[in-house]
Amino acid sequence: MSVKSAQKQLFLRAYDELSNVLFKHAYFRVSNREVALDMVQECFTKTWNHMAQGKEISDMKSFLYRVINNLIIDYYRKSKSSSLDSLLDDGFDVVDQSISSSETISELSLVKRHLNAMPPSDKEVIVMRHIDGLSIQEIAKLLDESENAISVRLHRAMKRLQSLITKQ
Amino acid sequence: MTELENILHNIASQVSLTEVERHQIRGHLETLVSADQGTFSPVSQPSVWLDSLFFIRRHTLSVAFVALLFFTGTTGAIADRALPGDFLYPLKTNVNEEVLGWFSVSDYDKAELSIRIAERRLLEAESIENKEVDLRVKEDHRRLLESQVNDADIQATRFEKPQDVEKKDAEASSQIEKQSKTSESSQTTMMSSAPTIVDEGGAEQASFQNSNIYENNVQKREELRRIFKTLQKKVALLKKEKQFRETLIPTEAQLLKVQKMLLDVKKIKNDELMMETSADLLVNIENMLSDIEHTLISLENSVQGSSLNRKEENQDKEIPKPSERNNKDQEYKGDEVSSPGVL
Repeated sequence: MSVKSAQKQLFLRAYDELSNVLFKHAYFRVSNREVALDMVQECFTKTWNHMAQGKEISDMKSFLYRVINNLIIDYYRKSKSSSLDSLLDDGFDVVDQSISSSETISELSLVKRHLNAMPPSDKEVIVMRHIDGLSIQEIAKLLDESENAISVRLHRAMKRLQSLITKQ
Repeated sequence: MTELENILHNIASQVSLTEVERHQIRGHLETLVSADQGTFSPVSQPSVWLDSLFFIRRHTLSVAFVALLFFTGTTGAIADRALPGDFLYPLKTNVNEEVLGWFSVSDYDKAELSIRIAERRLLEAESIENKEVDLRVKEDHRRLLESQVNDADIQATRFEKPQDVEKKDAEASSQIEKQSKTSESSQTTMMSSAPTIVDEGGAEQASFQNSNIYENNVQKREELRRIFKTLQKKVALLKKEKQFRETLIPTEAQLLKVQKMLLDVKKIKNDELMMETSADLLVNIENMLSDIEHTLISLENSVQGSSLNRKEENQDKEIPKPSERNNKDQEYKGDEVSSPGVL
């Protein structure tokens, strides 16, 4: 197996294993399916270009997360989307994706709406923890903060989200 | 809060890449990957393995157990035949060899293990020498080889007797003298056989002389290699005597170094500038082999009236003892090639 084909295998395998998680992450951060899809492709493209320059990637998952987080930040800066736009997107998306669940669709869309309205730093940790399913340790590593700091941030964010929902 | 978490999980499960979307993106990436002509970093073996290594470090005990099971199982066995650049090579070096390390407790065991591991590296180096392996992989392997041979050497010093250490120092300094003399003489031969460029006819003569020297080097190298093999077998034989096991550790380490030097010489191709280095290395190797042989002879002689003597006598008579006939046949064949005590 040549070096290049080994890297190719590795790369495609990373895509197969991690594309879905990264998509979910992007989607819940930007609330736009098309944008999220583009981001996933862009994220992997950038990663491949990085590899093609002979640069080593010691932790593929972390690297991909960092790339996509940067893309999300760039998106925030560029985007002028008001919370209203994203609410509309939410509404459509929930209808498209719905599968049978015990909660009503409205309940889910409510939570989604409020999640979306949260400040980026809160949203980030909530999405990473409860949407992506990352552990506190993993999040701390990715965001380069202490586990304690992440724990606190998450706790506060969840409280805020809860209060937003119950106020309704 | 838990209810909220549940809701979030439900929301999460509702959103997913559809198969169509997934394939679409993959298609784009496959095109990108096939087209790309970039240079790659070969050292980063699939990072999946690096993730595995982190896992291993976190769950050492259970992994050790599994690794042990694996060791007797297929994957581990297959990995043991892996060469640098192979997918399973990290399993060989980072897991299998690590596991062996856990079970070597005594100084002797540790030294033995480090020697065996260094030997493995040398065998691998020989195997990949002419193979299509990426240069970076070869370089990294070389670095690993050097450090492991060095490690084995250091471990072996624990078994050196004080008088041996003094002897070593004395030999080292005399070797340096020999080397400088040899290089001087080889320099003069070089100079006489490689006249200035002005002389065109002479230049042809020079390259002819150089190729001669090269041929000599190759022959010498082969000869020394044969001697090395013989001594290696001798050591294996002597090790069966328990009393010699520890004493032989430094000798084994020396043989390791010789093997490495033989490999280095092999690498030096027909390069004028390197001819000297090659010659020096050969002289060095010859001296080392000579010393090793003396050590082995003295060990053999120190055994009086033991089975070893009987074996040697039998060897001279070429009549192996009935009980040992099957085992010893191989070794006897090897020893017949060059009789002991003659270099």
